[in-house]
Amino acid sequence: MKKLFNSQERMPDDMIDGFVAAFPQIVARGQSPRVVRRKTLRTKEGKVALLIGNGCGHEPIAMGFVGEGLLDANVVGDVFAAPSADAILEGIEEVTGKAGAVLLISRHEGDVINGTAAAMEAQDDGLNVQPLLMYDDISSAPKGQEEDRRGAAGTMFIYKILGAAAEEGMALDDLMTLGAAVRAATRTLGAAVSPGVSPITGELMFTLPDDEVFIGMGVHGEPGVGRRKMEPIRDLVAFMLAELLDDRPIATGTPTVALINGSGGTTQMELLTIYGEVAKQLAEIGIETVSPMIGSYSTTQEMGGFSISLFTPTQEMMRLWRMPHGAPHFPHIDRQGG
Amino acid sequence: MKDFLALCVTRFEALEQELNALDAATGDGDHGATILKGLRAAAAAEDAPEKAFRRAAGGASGSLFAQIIAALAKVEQGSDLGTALGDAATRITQLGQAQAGDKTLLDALFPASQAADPRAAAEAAELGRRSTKDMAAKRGRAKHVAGAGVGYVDAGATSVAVLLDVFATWRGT
Repeated sequence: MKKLFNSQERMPDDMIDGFVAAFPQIVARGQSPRVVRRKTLRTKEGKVALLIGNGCGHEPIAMGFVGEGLLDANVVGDVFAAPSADAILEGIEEVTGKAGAVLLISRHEGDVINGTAAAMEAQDDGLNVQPLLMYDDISSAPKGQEEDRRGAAGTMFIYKILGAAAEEGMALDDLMTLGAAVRAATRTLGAAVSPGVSPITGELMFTLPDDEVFIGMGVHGEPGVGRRKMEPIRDLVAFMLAELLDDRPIATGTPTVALINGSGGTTQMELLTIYGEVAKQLAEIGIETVSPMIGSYSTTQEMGGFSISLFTPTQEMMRLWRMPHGAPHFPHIDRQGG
Repeated sequence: MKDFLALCVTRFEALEQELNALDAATGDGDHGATILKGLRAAAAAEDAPEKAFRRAAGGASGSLFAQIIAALAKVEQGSDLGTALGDAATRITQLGQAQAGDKTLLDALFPASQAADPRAAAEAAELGRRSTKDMAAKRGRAKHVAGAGVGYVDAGATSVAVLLDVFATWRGT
């Protein structure tokens, strides 16, 4: 399969070079070459730092979300591989001031182990760093075992809302409480229609028949929970919404934010069609959708597919969700009205 | 501690292929190579061998086994063996969100932490290691593999048992 790069080894670093070259007023490389941080940090003046480490290959998440009102830093691992604990520790040291830091961890095994190890070591060194585990994928563990679930696209609500709150000066403990509340109010379910190509092996990451959809496949091709025949999108959306609302019912009249995330190889045309169905079907049961996010933000190369995340914010969460920000690749929810 | 780590390097050089093969049954087949990389760096470090280990080994194994290296370094400086191994097991539990019986290195480490001296700890770890053969993996890549690794002893538990055996031999001399 064709991929456009210089060499496999250089992919993450070449990508970071391009990102920093494109947005020199917003981001800079840290002292460690795999740390991408805000050019102007306010964390030494009392702002709580917000950062995350993750494997690359899923852009724009998370590097593209570094900027004012969002992340202070992203520690970039190799393709689909969590950064080492040392790399994450270097990121923590780079941005953490007296007010401490929230280390976001999207719940995947390597990220949890290395992120938690980095946070423990930072604490041993006297830095006030709290790890916040993020999980929202209802297909990865049954109801009642939410803490065993994987992090998926719905984690982006936490990035944005904590980023805005930290910018306003919220303290570390309150950020942790807010993050847990956003997590509790979010559920995600994904569907895959075609595989991505691994930049490491050059091979398709999985195979599926032309006429089938995998439900609940993970962002690295982790096994899903079921298959369905291809059908008009309204039927697939109806199935997925029923699963989501069964996992976490939403009361009639509750303002709900829908996030339709593309996996990389699904067009905006399709994603908008999906959002239209989601909004219509939710309206039919008395649930109003507001301030949506629609696009390919957490991707797996050219994998075809999408996820639906439903989030029921409090008024305060909604205000923070709509707050302007300066990150290059996060949508500007504040500019879309309603 | 450097002597002990040098002994570990020798022992793991001999075991590298066997550990890789055990890991290949359910994982990506690099466990022996990973641990050896970490041990070589730890043996060469002037201080903080656990950090040198973690940095060189990399990945999740680097973070997890660094806790055991740190614990053994504490014992060498006079800490109680059971306490040090117990603390390491607690930290690894937090890091990996794994429990006893999940077919991980903890199945060798938990029993070792109950032992009174290094030799007893090594023997307890060896029994724990063998017990992983019949377990189904609940963590790591192994849980996605058909059969979840039943019939194979866990590579991580094997490494723990070997480390503690070398430690007991070294302390006994």
